[in-house]
Amino acid sequence: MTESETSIKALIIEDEEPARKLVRHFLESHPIIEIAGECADGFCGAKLIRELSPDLLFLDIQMPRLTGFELLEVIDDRPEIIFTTAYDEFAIQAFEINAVDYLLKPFSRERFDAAVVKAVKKIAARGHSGEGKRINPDSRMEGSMPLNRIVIRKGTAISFIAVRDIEYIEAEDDYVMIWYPGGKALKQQTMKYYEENLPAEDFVRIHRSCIVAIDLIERIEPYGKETYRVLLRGGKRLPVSRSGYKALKDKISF
Amino acid sequence: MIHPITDNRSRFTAWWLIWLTIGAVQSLLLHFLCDCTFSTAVTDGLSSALLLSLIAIAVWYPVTLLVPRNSGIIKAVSNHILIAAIALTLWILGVKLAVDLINGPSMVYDEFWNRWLLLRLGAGLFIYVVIVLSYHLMVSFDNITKKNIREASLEKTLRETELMALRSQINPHFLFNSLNSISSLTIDDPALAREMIIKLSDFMRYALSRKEQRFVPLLKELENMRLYLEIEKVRFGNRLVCREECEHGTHALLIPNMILQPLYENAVKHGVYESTEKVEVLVFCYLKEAVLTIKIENNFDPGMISRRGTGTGLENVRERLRLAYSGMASLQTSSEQGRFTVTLIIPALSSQDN
Repeated sequence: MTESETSIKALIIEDEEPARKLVRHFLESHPIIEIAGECADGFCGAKLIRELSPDLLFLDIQMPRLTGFELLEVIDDRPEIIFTTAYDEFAIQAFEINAVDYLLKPFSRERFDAAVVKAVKKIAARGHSGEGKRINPDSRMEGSMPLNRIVIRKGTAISFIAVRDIEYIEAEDDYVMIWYPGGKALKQQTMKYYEENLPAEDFVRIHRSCIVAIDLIERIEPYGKETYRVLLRGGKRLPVSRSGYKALKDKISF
Repeated sequence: MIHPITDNRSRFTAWWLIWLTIGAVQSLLLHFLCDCTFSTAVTDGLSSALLLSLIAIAVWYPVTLLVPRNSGIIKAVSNHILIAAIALTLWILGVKLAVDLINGPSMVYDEFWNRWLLLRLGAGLFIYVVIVLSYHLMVSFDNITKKNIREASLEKTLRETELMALRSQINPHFLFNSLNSISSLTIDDPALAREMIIKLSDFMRYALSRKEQRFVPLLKELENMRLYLEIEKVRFGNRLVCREECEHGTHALLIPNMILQPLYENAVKHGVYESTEKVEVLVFCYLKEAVLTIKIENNFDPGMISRRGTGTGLENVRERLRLAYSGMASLQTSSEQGRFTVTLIIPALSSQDN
């Protein structure tokens, strides 16, 4: 180890004590990694990440309050991630967000060591080329749990919007604005993601920049020449594109 | 069903060769034994063979389509007689007409015709019956083959359903997470690791052997669920608290095995997996008027929008209950003030009843 190598700050975010213990134990042979903290649920994890800005996370996926993936949606500077989970169905999603590795429980020491070596290399390289860009997954795995809540953050407060409460979603540059009865929330995510993952029987994409809850549509009215717009309960009007009109027609067959 | 003769090229060829032979033999017999002129004998023999073969091909359709199955023997037989009468009349008239048209009316032939008419009819009827019987044989053979195929596919579906039921019983993630805990225990508590392995093995053995015994005493099922909860306790420590209160006399009652597993798993999943607080799983069993009630309760965080709950676990239990008790059992769920309750109500069966 050379003088220039500073230690790497890592967090273990995992709801089972025996599993955390195993990670701690395996990390004993990697003195370059300093365990800055541990958490048993996603909320606590998000808070610790904000406070300690670690370089590396050992992250479980299924956890109380906030899943591993939801946690990544509410933090600003994303550390490098090594997933540790018993679920094999999230591997593609993990790959899409550039995770260092995906350890399937139970894992061997050799497998763990290889993941740590990769992470150390990646963090060293990142130090030269600036911050890693955050990418949210565009697609979700077939067979993973259906999207039924969306995690949002206002300042440091984390909360959820139930998918059934969403009124409509509008595109705003690289973000989307989600409107719901209590207000609106900005998310860094693509329209395509929501078009593909919201329940198809409840939502329809009426425009390149708009997805709306079918139940909320009061009526569809002509708007200029051969174009339409929808009137939502509550009085909001949204534009409908030609392909959006076709999608609407297919879903509610008027 | 396709036609056995016209829809098969080699059979179709053989068919015509056979009828040509019959026609030729008849012509020769008529010429040499009955003193018919050569042209009369050939016209008679060939037209009779040609007509009968056409009728035989055509009669396939009424045999397979018109004669209704399962409509009673009398109706079937009378249908057959009617069809046979029509077919043979057509045949006789056709042959006579053909010979008269081709060779011109002849007193000699008329006399010969009248003398052999009965024999001719008898021969025709015999051939007709042979053909119809072979058709029937083919149809029933075909039906049996179809039935076998259907039965095989049904059995396959049944086995797949059973396999799926088994798969949905034990969550593989439970197994892998437990193995991970064991891996962790080996660091400084090998004795506990060994104990965990034994518990997990006992649990898996019970879960996987369920095919042999459909019904087991409640006590056995409860013991196995204790194993399940003890394994989960190693993972979640004192966050999981369990209590079991079963009335005296309920332990020996029979229930379908592994029926409680999805309910316990549900309680642990919605309680412990989703919460950071202490979660209690309470089980009550009591017997009242030959009805066994099993209640499983857990507390959960009502403020959370659950990510789980496709409901397939409970649906599976309902389906199994329906199969096992044909509608005499029920499964109810209720959820209020952060407490989820599953109530299983089944007829009380003891081993003597079975």
